[in-house]
Amino acid sequence: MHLDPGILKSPSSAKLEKNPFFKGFDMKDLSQEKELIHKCIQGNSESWQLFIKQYTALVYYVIQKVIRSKDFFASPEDIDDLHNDIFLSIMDKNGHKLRLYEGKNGCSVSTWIRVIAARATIDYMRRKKESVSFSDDRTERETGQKEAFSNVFLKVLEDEEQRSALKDLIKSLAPRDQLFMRLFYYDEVPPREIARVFNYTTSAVYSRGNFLREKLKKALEKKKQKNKEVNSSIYNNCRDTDLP
Amino acid sequence: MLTKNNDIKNLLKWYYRSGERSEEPQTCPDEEVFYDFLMEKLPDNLRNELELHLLTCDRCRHTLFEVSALLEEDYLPCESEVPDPVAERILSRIPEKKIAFTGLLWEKVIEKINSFCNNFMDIFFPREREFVYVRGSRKVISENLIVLEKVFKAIKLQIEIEKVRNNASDIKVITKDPDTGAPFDGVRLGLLNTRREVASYMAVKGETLFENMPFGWYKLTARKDDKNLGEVILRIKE
Repeated sequence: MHLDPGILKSPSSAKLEKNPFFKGFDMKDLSQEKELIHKCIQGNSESWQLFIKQYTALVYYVIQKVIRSKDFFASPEDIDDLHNDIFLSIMDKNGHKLRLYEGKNGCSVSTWIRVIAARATIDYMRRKKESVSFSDDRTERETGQKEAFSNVFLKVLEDEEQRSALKDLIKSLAPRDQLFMRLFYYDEVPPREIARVFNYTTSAVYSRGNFLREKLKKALEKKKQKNKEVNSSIYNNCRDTDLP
Repeated sequence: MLTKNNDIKNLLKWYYRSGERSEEPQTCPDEEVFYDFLMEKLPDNLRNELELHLLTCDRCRHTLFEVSALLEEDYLPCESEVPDPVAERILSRIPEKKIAFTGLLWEKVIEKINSFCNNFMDIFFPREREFVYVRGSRKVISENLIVLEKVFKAIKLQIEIEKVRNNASDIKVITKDPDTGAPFDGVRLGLLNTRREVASYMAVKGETLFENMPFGWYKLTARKDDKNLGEVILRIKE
């Protein structure tokens, strides 16, 4: 089970007391966070000040973390600008973005800010580089390998009927399985990361991968068998009619 | 068939490249949806929608993995991580509380009516000019130069009046913070005579100069963001 660090892993009150920024403000208290947001929306300058002081370090940390995780280079000035842009986007139009925060299902403000900051950083990286994605890593890996399109399986797919059958098969999978297949086989995301997102264990990720592959294999074979039968019956019919 | 991971990878490669899944991504979901998804709190229909969206949206797929990594770790914020100028820069951008539009409109209407009534009454019952009562001092630096200081709640004005020729003077206004004495920028200084506004300048580096102003009655006003910070009535004479 994932724990929400925003609520359960927040710093202890003793640590907070030492930090002048957080004096008298308990991050664990969701209602207090909501009250702060409410006051910010009302335009209270002190509340905005507290809000910024409260989350400035978190935003800065998230930016650096996301940039590091993708081995992306960003100058300190760019990081500073991005940090300010994130807060400005929150403060923009009299706190319009802040109004979107609902805090339902226990999503703390700090968690919400994490998502905003992560997303803004990804957007920044995408702007800087045409695209930064799992697909990029995959493409790089692929260029080093020989294209394996010549294998037996894909030869079967040359048949248009088989192709449409495959499309139907993939589409017939549950969205979760489709996403899983994409991440596991196509994007080649490390199983540990997939496990974290889907709330599986790492071994369950491998099992799920094998299960889906088998499922697809059986369905394709079944389809192929069916087509063979149809073809042979057509062939037989033709042969019968051709006989004098 | 499909006995190796490479087989299925190639198959999916073909599938995703065939354009079958290249529909335009829909609008990306709100931030809280990612939390709900990771915490398994999304209703089935919304979860399916998100999963289908993630299939086509690289941006959201990327965000999901970053957020899941961020939520996993224990993080203790520490303000020392953020360079001081960065935090200060954003703190200086905090919006000031805005009065509701209707309130602002009402305030303007009242101000206009008051101003109209005063001007109208002045025609029939000319009044003695009233000076603004503020803390102030007057220094005569030389025969042709007088320096006045007026301190208001939000601004300190230093007015230097220098006679430059017969019946004319330069008026230099220095705006300062009343507490620190630092130059007060972004203030619009207006000079009005009995009938109209004669000149209006924005203080640059806390200074403004009105040149060659004929002797007479003037009202000097200091305004910032439509807020009146202070007014001084001057009578310059030989």
